[in-house]
Amino acid sequence: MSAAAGPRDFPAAAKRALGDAALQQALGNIPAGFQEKRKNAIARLPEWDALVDAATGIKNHTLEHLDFYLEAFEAKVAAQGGQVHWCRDGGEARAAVLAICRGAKAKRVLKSKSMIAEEIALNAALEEDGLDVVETDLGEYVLQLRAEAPSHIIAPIIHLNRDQIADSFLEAHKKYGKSKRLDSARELLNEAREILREKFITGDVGVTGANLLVAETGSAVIVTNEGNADLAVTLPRVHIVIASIEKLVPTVPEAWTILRLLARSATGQDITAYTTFVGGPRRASDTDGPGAFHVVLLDNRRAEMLGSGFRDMLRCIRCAACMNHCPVYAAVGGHAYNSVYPGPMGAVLTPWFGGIGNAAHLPNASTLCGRCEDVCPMRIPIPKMLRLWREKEDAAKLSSRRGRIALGLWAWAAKHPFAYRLGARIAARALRRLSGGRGRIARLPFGSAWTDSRDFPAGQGDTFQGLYARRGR
Amino acid sequence: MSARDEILRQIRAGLKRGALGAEAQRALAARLAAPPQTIVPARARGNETELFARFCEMAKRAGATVSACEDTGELGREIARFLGQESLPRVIRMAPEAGLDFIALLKQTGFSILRGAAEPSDRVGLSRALAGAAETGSLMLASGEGHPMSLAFLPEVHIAVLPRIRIVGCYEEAMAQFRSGGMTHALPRAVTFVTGPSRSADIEQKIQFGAHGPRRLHICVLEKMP
Repeated sequence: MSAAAGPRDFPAAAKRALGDAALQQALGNIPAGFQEKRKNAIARLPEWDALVDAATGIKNHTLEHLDFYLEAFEAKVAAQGGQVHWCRDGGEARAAVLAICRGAKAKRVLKSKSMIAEEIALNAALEEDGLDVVETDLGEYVLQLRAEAPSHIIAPIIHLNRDQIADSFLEAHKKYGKSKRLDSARELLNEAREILREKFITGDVGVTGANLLVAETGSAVIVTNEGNADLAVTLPRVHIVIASIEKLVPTVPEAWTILRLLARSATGQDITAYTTFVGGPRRASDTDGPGAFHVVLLDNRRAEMLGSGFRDMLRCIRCAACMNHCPVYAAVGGHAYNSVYPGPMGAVLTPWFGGIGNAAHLPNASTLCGRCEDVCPMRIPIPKMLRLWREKEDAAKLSSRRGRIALGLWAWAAKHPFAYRLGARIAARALRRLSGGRGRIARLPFGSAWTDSRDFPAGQGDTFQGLYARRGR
Repeated sequence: MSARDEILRQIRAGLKRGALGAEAQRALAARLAAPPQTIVPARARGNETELFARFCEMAKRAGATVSACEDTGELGREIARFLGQESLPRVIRMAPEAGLDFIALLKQTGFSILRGAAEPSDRVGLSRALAGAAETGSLMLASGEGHPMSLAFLPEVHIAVLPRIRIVGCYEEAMAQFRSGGMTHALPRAVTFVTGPSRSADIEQKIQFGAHGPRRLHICVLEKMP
C-alpha cells in the first residue's frame, strides 16, 4: 500500500482484497469469532433490548447537554489534581501530548490501543520528536513491527494469519537474541509478553484511549482484555488519556448501562477481563500510580457534527458490531477502505473527516442491507446516513455523469405514471426475451459490470403493477 | 478565542442554542447528584446463596478458578495447595494493608511473604478484592492505602481473597461503597473490575490466557474474615 493511498482507491483495493487468498482465509474467522459469540451473549441477557433503548437515550441526553457535561467533567478532573487539554484538531492534540512528554523528560511512551491516536496520527509525531513509542496491545504491537495500519477497530490484525505474525516476530526479535520461528499462537503471545514486559517497567509515560468519560467522577473508563492499559496507567510516571468529546456520559450507573452493551456487541464477552475507572494522579496514601494525569480532549469537528444530519453517529461506542456483520467488510477487509475507520461506521465517518469528494466510494459500497443498523447497540441509523452522503455527493455533482443522467431519467419516469408503466412493461418484456426463457441473463447490455461475474435474474415478463391489476389485488 | 471556548461555542451552535440558563444547569447538576434509575439485569438479583453460586459460576466461565475457604487456616492450606499444583515457589508478594496481616502468619508454615507494590520479578501477587459482582463473576479492586494495583497485573499469577459478605449482585452495588452520602461517587484513583485472567484473541480469533496481566486468576472466597 503506497503512502498516498486513500478512500479514493477503494475499487482497486477491494478488487485486490478479493483476490488475496491469505486475507480471505483470515476474514473467514469473522462469523465464528464475532457473530456467533455476540448472538450467544445477547441470548443470555433478556434485558438486551431494554438496555439498548436506555443507552441510546443516555447518549442522546448527554449530547443535548454536552457543553454542561464537558465542563462538569473538567471540574472533577481538576479537583482530583489532573488537567484537561481542549484541542480543536489533531495538530493541537499532538502538540499537547508532545508538550507533556517533553515536560516529563520522557524517553519511552507506552501506548495502549486508541482509535483517537490513529485518527490524529499520534505515533508518527511522537517518534519524530525522538520518543520511543511502544504499542502494548498485542495486535497493535504486531502492526508496529510490520509498519501497517489496523484493519479493524477492535481486532487490529484480523487480516493476518499466524504464519505472517511468526515471520514478523522472527525478523524483529533477532535483536533480543530470539532465533526460533514460532508455530503456535501460545508461543507468539509468550514471546511478545516477555519482550514487552521489559518495556513496561521502563516506560515514562502511558498513553491510553478511553471508552467512556464520566462527568460525575472525572474518570476515564478503559476496557481491555490483555491488561496492557492497566499496566500503562499504573507503572509510568505520567498518564495521558486521549479521548474525543462524545465519549462523555453523565454518571457511573449510566456508564454501566453502556458497558453492559460494549463487550457483548464487540467480542461476545459479558464483560472484558478488565474494566477500569481511572482519574487523577496518585493520591497521598496510594502505594502506586503515576504522579501526573492529563486528559487530551479532542473535538476534530465533532461539535460541528452535532448540528449536521450525522449527529446520531456521535452515539457510536466503537464496538465494531457493524463491521463484524457487514457483507462488504467481510469480503474486502478493513485495509481496502484506506481510512482510519473502516466498515459501515467508517463509511459514515471517513467522508466527514476527509470530504465526500475523496471518500464517495465508501457510502456507495453498500447494498443498504441494514445489518449494521440491526446490530448497532446504540441504534445508529447507518444506512440512512450512507444515503445522506449519496445525496450530498449527487448535489455536489461529484457522482458520475452517467449515473446522474440515469437517476434523472428514473426520477422523471417515477413522476409520470403513464411513462413509468410503459417503460416498465417494455423493460420486463425485453428482459424475458433476453433470458430466452431460462429465468436468467448471462449478458446484459450496459450491465456488464453485473453480468461479467454473475447472471442477472430475469422476471416473468410482466410488471408488478400488471400482476397486481390482473390478480385484482 | 481559546480552544476550550471555541469548542463550547461550536457545541452550542450545533445544538442551536446558547449557554444553558441557571435553572437548566441546576437541573442537570441535580441529575448528576441523583442519577435516574438504570436497568439491573435479573441475573444480578437473588439471595445470598444464589448470588454466591452465580458469582462462582460466572467467574469460572471467565477462566478464573474459585475455592471457598471456611477460615484463615483453610485459606493458608488452600494457597499452599494452589501454589504446589501450579509448581510455583512459596513466595508471595502481598498487599501491605493491615487487613491481610493474618496471611503474613503463613510465614510460619514455610512461605516467604513480601509486602508492597509488585516488582517485575514477582511471580505471585496476592490482594484483597473489595467486592465481587455476581452478574459476571467480576472482582472489584481499587487503588488506595495498602492496595497497590500492580499486584493484580504484573505477576503471572494473581490470588484474590474475597470475603464472602462482599459478594453483591451488580457492578453498581459493588461501587456503592464509594458513595459519600447521597448518590455521588468519590472514586479512588483507579477502580478495576477483573473478570478472569488476562487474555488476547488477536491471533486468529483464538483466546489465549496470560497476555500482559496474569495467566492465572485464583479467587479464594473466605467465609469468616478475621
